[in-house]
Amino acid sequence: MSTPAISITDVRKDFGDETVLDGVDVTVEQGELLAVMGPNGVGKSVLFSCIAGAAQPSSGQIMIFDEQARSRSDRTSFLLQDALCVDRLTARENIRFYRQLHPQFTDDWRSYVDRLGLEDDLDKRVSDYSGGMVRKLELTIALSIDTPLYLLDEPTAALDLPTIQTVHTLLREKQDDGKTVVLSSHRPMDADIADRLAFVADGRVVTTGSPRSLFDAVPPVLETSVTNADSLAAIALDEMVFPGDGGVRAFEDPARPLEGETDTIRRLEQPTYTDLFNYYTTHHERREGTDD
Amino acid sequence: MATKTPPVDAPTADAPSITPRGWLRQVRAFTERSLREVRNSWTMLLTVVAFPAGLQLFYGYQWDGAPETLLASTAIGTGVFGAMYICLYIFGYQLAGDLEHQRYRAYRSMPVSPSADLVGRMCSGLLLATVAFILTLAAGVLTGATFGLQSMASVPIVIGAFTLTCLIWMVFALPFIVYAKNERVAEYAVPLLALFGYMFTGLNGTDTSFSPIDGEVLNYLPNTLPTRLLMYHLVPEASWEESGAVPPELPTGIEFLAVLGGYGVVALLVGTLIVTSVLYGGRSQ
Repeated sequence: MSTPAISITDVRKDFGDETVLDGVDVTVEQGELLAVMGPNGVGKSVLFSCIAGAAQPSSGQIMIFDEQARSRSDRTSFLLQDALCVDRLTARENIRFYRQLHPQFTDDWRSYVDRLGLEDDLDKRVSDYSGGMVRKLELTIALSIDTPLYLLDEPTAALDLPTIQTVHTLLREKQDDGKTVVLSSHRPMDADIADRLAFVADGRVVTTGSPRSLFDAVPPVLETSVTNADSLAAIALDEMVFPGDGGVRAFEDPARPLEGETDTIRRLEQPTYTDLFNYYTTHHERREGTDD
Repeated sequence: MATKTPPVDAPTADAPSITPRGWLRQVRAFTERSLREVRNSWTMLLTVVAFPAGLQLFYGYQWDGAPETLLASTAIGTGVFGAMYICLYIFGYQLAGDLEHQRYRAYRSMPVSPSADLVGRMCSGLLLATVAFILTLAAGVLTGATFGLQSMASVPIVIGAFTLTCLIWMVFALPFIVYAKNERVAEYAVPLLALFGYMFTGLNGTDTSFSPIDGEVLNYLPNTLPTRLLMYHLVPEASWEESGAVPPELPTGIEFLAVLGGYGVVALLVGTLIVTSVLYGGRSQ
């Protein structure tokens, strides 16, 4: 059994009176691609900052390749949302800055710039970039640093679908090179490339597992039209419905199973990643509230 | 993509230690970045090139026919004011931008030396302040001032006094910037400290009659001491009574250099402490 890439034990992070992370436990194996999923504002970025050694947990322990996270800073490349690039510089000047700053920065940036479609805009100031272009530049910088662990906070935010596919390919290539990749996302499509998913809600990792095992634990999904949403909610798990593809969806309540299909409510064979996301983030929150 | 990282079960790299060459590279990274930011910003560029020099031209034309000593000492006072302003504004503004955009979270996750960060930013601030100071003296010459040297010993004294002044004022900006973490505060409020100091001390001690502060104190303040030292060493043929620079007598003794050096050491210690402990969370180097 090899040393885990990341081992997080009972981590708590407070900002004043506010607890952002509370009792987080996660282990990530070397070479694994873990997607940390959860809605905005549940503490994913704070958790990543702690793993990267950029923030100190209030309590608990984070080990990176068997060493304290804050004891070394040459084992992670950390992509933060909208934090890496200086607006007043051009993209080329930003890359030059990080090339000089980080001893492990490689010339791979040329390839990433090309594949992410930034090469014609390298001499524009970042202040003139769209959100998606900034994200591509940040990805270029983060992926050009040669480290065994990549921590990517929302790497596909603000990107269009073809670029998301390119990013997924780049991450798989990193994994093929033996790197460990941990990304956070609130977009279900990012779950598609993960070996394992970890869902975060209320500052805790509420569940982890392979996509297959997590899918297997999701109750049957029910779907109806928007006009029939109230009827669906009346029989749904926690009486909650979610927007679906042209209609609304919900999870079947095991205590009130749907007796066959009605004219208006259908039971679906296969839940989607969006269903998975909704089940593990939203229903968890509802149950926690009820338990209290 | 080529695999470059060794298997992590058998790491070949020790805990990160930045080599002297790597440290210099990081210093250069921060210096270059700062200078590029200034080059790309009309506001910052005009502040360096035109603000103190323009102020001196204004004084020169307003005081047409004034004694040479007055024009020369005013140019030095305004040049030091410009240096202080630039140190507070550009050093502070760029640092505030990094803090406001949470860029230090990224730096802390990288093997960045806090001292390289501080020194790199200071090199840029010093370079820009020097440009502004020289342009201000040139504006003084254009309006009738003349400069020279008391002796060859004046050369290291002038360079040392000016460098220490810049260092002190950059560190002076640090606590405000670290506390506020706001670019607007850094851009508009912090540089006012330089303006306040300049006006309150009689144009940095060049005309003591303008200052409500009397006596020897004007030879010890961190803005007036270097200004008056520079006046003594850069204006050898001077009539200080005529220009309003005395009393008190100009600080010519070695003890004043020691005081300024002491300010510099304290500033360096405080700056290193703030950057290391607050910005980098206690990281060494």
